[in-house]
Amino acid sequence: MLDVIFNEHTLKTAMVLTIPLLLAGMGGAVCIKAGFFNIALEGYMLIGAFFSVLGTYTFNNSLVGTLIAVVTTIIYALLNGMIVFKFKANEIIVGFGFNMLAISLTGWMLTTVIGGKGLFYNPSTPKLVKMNIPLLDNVPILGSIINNQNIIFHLGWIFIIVLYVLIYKTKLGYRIRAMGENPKVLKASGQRMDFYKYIAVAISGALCGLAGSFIALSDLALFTENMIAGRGFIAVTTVIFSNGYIPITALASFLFGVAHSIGIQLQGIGIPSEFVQMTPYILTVLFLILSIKTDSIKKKNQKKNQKKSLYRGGLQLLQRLFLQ
Amino acid sequence: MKKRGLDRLLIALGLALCITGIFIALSGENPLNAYYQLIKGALWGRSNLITTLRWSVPYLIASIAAAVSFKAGVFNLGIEGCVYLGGLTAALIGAYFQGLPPLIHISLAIFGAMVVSALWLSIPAYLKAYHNVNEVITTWMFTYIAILLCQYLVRNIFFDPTDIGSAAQQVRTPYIMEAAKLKQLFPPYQLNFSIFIGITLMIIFYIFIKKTRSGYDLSMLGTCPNFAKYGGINIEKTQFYAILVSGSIGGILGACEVLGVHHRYIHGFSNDLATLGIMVALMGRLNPVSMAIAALFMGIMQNGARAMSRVTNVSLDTVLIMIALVVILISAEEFFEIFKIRQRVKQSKKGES
Repeated sequence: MLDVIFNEHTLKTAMVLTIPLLLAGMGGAVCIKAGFFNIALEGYMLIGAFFSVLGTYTFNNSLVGTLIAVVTTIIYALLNGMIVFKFKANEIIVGFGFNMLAISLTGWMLTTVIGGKGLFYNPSTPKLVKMNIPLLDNVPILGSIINNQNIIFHLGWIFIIVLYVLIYKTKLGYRIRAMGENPKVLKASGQRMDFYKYIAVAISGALCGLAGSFIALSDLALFTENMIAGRGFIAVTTVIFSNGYIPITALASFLFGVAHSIGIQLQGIGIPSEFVQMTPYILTVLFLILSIKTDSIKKKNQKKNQKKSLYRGGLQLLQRLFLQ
Repeated sequence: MKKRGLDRLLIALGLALCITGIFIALSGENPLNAYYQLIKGALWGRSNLITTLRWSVPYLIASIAAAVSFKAGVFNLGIEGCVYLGGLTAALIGAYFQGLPPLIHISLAIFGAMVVSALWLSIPAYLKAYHNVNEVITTWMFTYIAILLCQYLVRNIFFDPTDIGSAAQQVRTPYIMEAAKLKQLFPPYQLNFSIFIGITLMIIFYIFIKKTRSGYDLSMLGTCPNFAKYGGINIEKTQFYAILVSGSIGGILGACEVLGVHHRYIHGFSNDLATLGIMVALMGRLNPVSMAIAALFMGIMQNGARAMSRVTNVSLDTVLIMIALVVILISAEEFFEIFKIRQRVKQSKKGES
């Protein structure tokens, strides 16, 4: 039974399932670093998925389609950003609204612009090309898995490093983090405050656009109504779990991918499909429960430190009182 | 305050109507004609009016469910799951309990639905209140889990035995007993006694928020958590019970839909009632009276949109776009300041001349 679960195929599926979560999760992480808790990732991904299929269909080229998806998603994300930053709206309510708007907008375009009912699929639409790079075959263990994947797959893993460097090693990233941690410092140093938030939102939009096109264009070039099905919310969970620290976000999304793919393998053994579909959602809740524990440990440590400093302070006071 | 809220609703609505008008025009129809068809389809004639009311009732109940938790500053998105669980519970109690008098049977079914939904949401509620786990995510995930759980239970255990031979594709339970049905008010139409349940809930909610101490605690916690904390309100307990009550009202909604309209649990019966109910609560800005108006508005939109899409070429999603726009615009606080500043400038100019 174990060899059904733990084999190369599981790992391959896991890595593929990880990509949308990873991209969207990193987008959310950048946003949370800029002090914006973004729950509209789901909506962004849906917009991205729709426009990638539409773009690919019109221009008959999957890369152009992906580009169009990224651009439209950035615009959508900036709109969300504008309502939250400029018009001071509640970010959760507006995020909820933008998720709904994405569902209804894509549904409207599906019926009106394309004329499909709940589904847009044309066999002639090209998929994302699976790249065969002979060099990758030489990579030990992973070689056969990461070869013959499309470009977004590779971009997803590369972006972990790119975004880590961007956020932690560059001036721009430093300012984005300052925006989240202490906006007053940024203001005092004469920087434009909201500019960095907009940049963060635009990055998350671009990444979600990529994630959406990966979902829509990787296996079949098709779009169905509400095809993201909660994956955006799972991405939000990885953000909360990691508190925006990108390596942990990536690790968390990979764990989700692994668990989901194990679930799919379990379906072969005869576990009801409903429970298999449930796994990512149950895992999400478990992940959040895990993150409480780390929080409470942090708090305990803080308390200990406080006690220590109290103790030290007391000692100093005693010394002053009695030794002088 | 009240007048200002109404102003904002009207401005947001007007803007949303304009933007949606563009979408309607893009799909090749005259917006004014489409809106005329919408209003006509919703309010003209006895049957349309009754159907509009029938759709307003679930939105009203769902919006109350959402408002209870939103008032406390807790975003409970798990109402949809409660609707399904409550509906299933009510359908099972309605179908398998025999020989009870109608009133007791109905109350038992609704009570069962409330208990199950409250128990279901007690996990996220506990996590939120005592461990500060983000409730937006947990409750949303619990919705998905609940819907899949219901599907599994009905498909494998509580399915309708008469469906086995037939080619029925739907996942559904057997019909409920005659005694458990909520009577229809005007028999061929689906409007039923749940409208009174909805109105009663709204009145209770109004009294609770405006007149009782715990209602005051609840809204204080939502508007100013620090003040509530120093005022000696038990934050954990209030948040915990806010989610629980919100969930159990969601259960009532599920029970009402099953006992009053479908008379059995059909998988997918809710069709985003709760999500739209949350929209209604946000449109009404959590005020009981404006929520009732917003629910009626939503009923008009839903029923009218069907008529509109029959006559014209406009799809049902157009209305959803409009509702989402209203919610987004209404929550944008500073957005309305623009209008105010303009008004002030106008007033000062008038004063000068």
